[in-house]
Amino acid sequence: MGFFDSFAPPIPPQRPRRPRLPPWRGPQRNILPVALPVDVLLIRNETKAVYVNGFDVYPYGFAFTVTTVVHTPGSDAVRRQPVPFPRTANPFAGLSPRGGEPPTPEEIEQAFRVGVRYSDGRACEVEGRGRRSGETRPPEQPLVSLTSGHGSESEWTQGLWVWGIPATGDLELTYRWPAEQARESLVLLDGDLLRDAAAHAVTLWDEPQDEGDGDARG
Amino acid sequence: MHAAEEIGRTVPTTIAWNKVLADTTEIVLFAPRLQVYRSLFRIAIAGRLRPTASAEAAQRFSGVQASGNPYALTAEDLARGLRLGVQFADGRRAALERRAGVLPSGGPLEPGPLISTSRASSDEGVFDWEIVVTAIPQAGPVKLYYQWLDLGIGESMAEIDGDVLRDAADRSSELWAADHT
Repeated sequence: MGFFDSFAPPIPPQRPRRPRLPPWRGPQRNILPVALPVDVLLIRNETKAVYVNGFDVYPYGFAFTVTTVVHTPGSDAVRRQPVPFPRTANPFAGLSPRGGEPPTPEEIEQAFRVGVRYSDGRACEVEGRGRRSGETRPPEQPLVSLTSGHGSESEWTQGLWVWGIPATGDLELTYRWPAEQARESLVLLDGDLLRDAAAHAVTLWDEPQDEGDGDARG
Repeated sequence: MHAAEEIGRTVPTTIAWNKVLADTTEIVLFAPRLQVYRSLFRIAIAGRLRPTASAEAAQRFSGVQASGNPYALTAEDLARGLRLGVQFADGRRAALERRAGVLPSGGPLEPGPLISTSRASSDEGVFDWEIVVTAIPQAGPVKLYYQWLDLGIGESMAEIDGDVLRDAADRSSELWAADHT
């Protein structure tokens, strides 16, 4: 009998299950969304451009992406110049804590902002990243949240989640980027298109409700 | 223009594909959209592991295929994992090489398709990939081949309408003219 035979076989550790995002903070994995063919250029100047696409519609909201690209005109030597900190093209960076420090009011003011407005006047503008602690009940619709983002110093793609599809009317996507002298503007999203897509999203399976999920229907 | 440069200078045209590639007791594999540039296109590929999937399937899904350490992959893992490839109507074709996970950064675009991953992310029971095909055929459809033997998906094919693809390429818009300095 070997030394280790006197011990019970080792049991592999179980991966801890992360609590799911509540439905008002991100798309649900048990839903097959409906993609929409929407591509809109929001801002373009000599050095930056911002466009939205990647629209995926769920029964109670929709996801989309904001892509920012940075253009450095000139020769390769100019393009290789060091980029000032923060080395990212993320236009939302000023909304989130960095190095444990909350953003300053000026950083928040200069950051890219995007929001939605229903035809009945209800509106919301995106806040910084992160699940709100103690958030156990769904807030008022609409709600706009940052989800995952990826990119580099020359390009950034940021996911956003809008909770709540209006029962009637179109939806305005509003945006502004004070740091790039881009005043508030809007893009109109077809409410019927959103509602039709939401009706065709498929629930693949029923998820057990996490404690505090509340009522996704708001 | 290099592929990465073209992506950085273009607003692509989205084709909403909403194509379910496979739906089994363990996984749903689907392709929500294509994003089409002037001379290349991206295909979004997404997977959702069903909660009823076996523990073995869950391990294969979340371990090496979507987000694991690529250096831990064996030849058998690669052969039995998610495989993707494209074929043009003229016979030119390419398959995704997992070791070539980034876009080519130099040289002109290949005359035929070259397929690589541009983005991959995963979470518990979820993965989202984007693959880039660095050519658009002059004629005919594009066939997307896929298989994931470890999860019970044998070789399968879905066809992309070539006319829709070429029309989308024509409608993509260049943000800035290319620099030649």
